[in-house]
Amino acid sequence: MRTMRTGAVIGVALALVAGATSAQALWSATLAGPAVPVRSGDLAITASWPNGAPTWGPLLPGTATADQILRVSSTGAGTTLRWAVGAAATIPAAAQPHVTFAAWIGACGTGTPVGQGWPAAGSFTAGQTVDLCVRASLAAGAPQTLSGAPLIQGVTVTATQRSS
Amino acid sequence: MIATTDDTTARRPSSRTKGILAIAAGTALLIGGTGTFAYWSTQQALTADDIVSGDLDLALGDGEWSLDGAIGGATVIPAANIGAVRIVPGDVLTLQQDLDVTLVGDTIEAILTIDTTDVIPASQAAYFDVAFTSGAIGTPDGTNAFRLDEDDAGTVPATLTITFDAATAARDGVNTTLDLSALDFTLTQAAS
Repeated sequence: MRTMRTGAVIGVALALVAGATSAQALWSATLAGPAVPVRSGDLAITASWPNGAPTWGPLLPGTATADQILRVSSTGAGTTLRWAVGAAATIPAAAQPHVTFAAWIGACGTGTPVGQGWPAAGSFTAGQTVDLCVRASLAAGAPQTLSGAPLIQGVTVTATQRSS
Repeated sequence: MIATTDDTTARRPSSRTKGILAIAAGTALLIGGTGTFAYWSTQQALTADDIVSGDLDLALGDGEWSLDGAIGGATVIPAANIGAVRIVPGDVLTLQQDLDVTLVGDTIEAILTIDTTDVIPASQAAYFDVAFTSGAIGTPDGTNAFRLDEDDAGTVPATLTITFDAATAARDGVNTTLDLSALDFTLTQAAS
């Protein structure tokens, strides 16, 4: 009797498994999306001195460097990309109160100051090139301690994506 | 005078004789039994339409791309030019993709799902989002899944949006390729 009962239980279990398996065999159709790659762009720039690297001589209090052209080119890509340009100099802490570095779109002094990012609402597109006029000056009241000291240790150009 | 012997004296049949008689009787019965199938018979073909199975299928219809940039409004991108598009942070690239759905069956219902798992490289998943909607067709049945019945068959307007997170910093996510052919649209007959 026990053997029969065990057999019946196994039989029911097998039937349930078979039933569950067959329930999965419903119709199904699968389709791949369009074979189109979607790529992201890039915001990359190069910067150069088109007239040669500047050879700024020693700055005396109350004087400025010769104007220099700094060319910035976007080498990235982006269908809707808009970017702004900025330029800044690395100035030692001791000299910061007395040294001024500035960049303009157009002529130095009379063009549009670039500051840390211009224009505020981006207008440069991917692949566009912009020339900046840069100049550094030493305040008339600069202390004697800055004599012979490095005043500018590098210039950094920044491109920033604009969202408005 | 010649003496004769009376051979007519009754004798009991032998066992062998009994066996032969039994076989003969059985054979006769069998022959008679076969003959009993020869009664009248008739048949009538049932007049009814053929029974035809239904259908379930899925195909890509027309598609239209548009790009809504961080600056400016949405712009339609001709399909021939989509390969030249380069998306940047803040962009939303939209594909209006028609799906041709075949659902034939008196009781058929099906679940339309889209699997976007393999579209975005795992290392770039933080910067991109892929979402799917099917417009007003069907009933939502979980994430990226919609339940359709026979009345929903035909052209199902699916919308796929690829969003490049506007908060993406530095140059994260640059020059990344999203493989839309890794999208899987699946239409599966509903089990319940």
